[in-house]
Amino acid sequence: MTRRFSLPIAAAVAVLGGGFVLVSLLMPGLEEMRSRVLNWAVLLAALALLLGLANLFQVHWQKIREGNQRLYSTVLLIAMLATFGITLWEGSRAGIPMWIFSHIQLPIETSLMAGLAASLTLAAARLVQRRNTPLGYTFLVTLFILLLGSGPLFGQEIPFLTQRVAPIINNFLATGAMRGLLIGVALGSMLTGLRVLIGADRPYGG
Amino acid sequence: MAPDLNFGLVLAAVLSLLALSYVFGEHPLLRVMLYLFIGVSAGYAAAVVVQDVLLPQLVFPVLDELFGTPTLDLGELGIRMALALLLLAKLFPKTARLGNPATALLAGVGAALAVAGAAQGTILPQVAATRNIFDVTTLQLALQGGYYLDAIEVIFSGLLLVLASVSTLAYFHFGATSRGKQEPQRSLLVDSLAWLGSFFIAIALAALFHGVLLAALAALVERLDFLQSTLRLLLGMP
Repeated sequence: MTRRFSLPIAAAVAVLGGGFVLVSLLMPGLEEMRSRVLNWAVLLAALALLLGLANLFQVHWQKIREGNQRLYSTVLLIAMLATFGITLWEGSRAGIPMWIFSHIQLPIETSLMAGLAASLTLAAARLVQRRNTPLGYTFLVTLFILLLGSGPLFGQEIPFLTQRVAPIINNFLATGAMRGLLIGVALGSMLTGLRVLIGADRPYGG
Repeated sequence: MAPDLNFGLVLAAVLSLLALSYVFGEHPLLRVMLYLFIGVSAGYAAAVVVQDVLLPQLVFPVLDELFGTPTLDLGELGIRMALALLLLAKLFPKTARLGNPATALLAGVGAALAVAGAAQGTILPQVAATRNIFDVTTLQLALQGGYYLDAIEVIFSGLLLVLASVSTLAYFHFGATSRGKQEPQRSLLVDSLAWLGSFFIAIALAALFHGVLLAALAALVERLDFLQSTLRLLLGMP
């Protein structure tokens, strides 16, 4: 009985809310109401994020209580609570939050990005070993040409690659394919969105 | 007041080394660093969300209402509170279903924005850019000036771009028609274009890979430079 009651309400809210926002983007005069609906969505998104973080907290609290990987979960919870408390108290652009950002978050993020250089090089080397197909070779040859065409190597530049071949690959071959991929992704997003708007897909649990 | 500068530098250097040690495989200190990173990021995100959205949009208006200085009309405040309470119902398994309308509104509005964004932000500009591929002004100037090789180059590059875009799209075309008792097959034209498109996709992925690799190398150089300068600073070297 509850299911019969809740199912159409949730679907109706999604169809009406989403439909209104879509119509308001096309018809002038509905800006104020659209702004209100968008504000509700922003509030819900913020609350959903907080619920997710509350769930993260609960999972690691449970792990500490059960003695399962206690050190890691303790580090996570202390870091989470301390950063949350200090940032909330001082403001996100104040001294200590900015210190945390530039001395903890930024070095780790940049170093993980730097580590990606080794991972990607290894991945390319494995591709040579495992993918002996025309497409694999196309990928690797293009990559090799682009790397050589990126600029001088040990002070030596190959003008034919840097000034002719690499620009052709980047400006025509890759751009054309990326445009096709982008249009394909956008068409897929539109279809997925429209399926939600007509109630065919109900990712909200209706 | 910010903590001591040297401590901050040493901490950043130690964390950088730990993160870079990921290249040699996983170890407990790396995991401690990753959990620290997740904790700090999650705490920061939560504080920003509370400060920038929750307090000004929900908590302060409710307090204003309670203290007799309303800043929002009661209907608007009621809707915001109702939506927040419905979503909070998701916390408990028994009441989770009550939160469906709130998540439905979020999904509906998100879907509408995705449709509008995809149409206005991607499809229309990309189709317009593909339509304007043939640089007509340059082509006219080249033809008027007798630079026929340049004119051919303009036409050839335009055709190449269109072919790359169309064949890439054809690669993701899975429509097929059945022919009697035979298995459904794509038409010969779409099949050929899709085959060509797979090569263009490989080239595009290589270009993307190249871009990410260069960005990662730039980050690696920056980190190594930071580690070297921190070490020199700590050792008192000029």
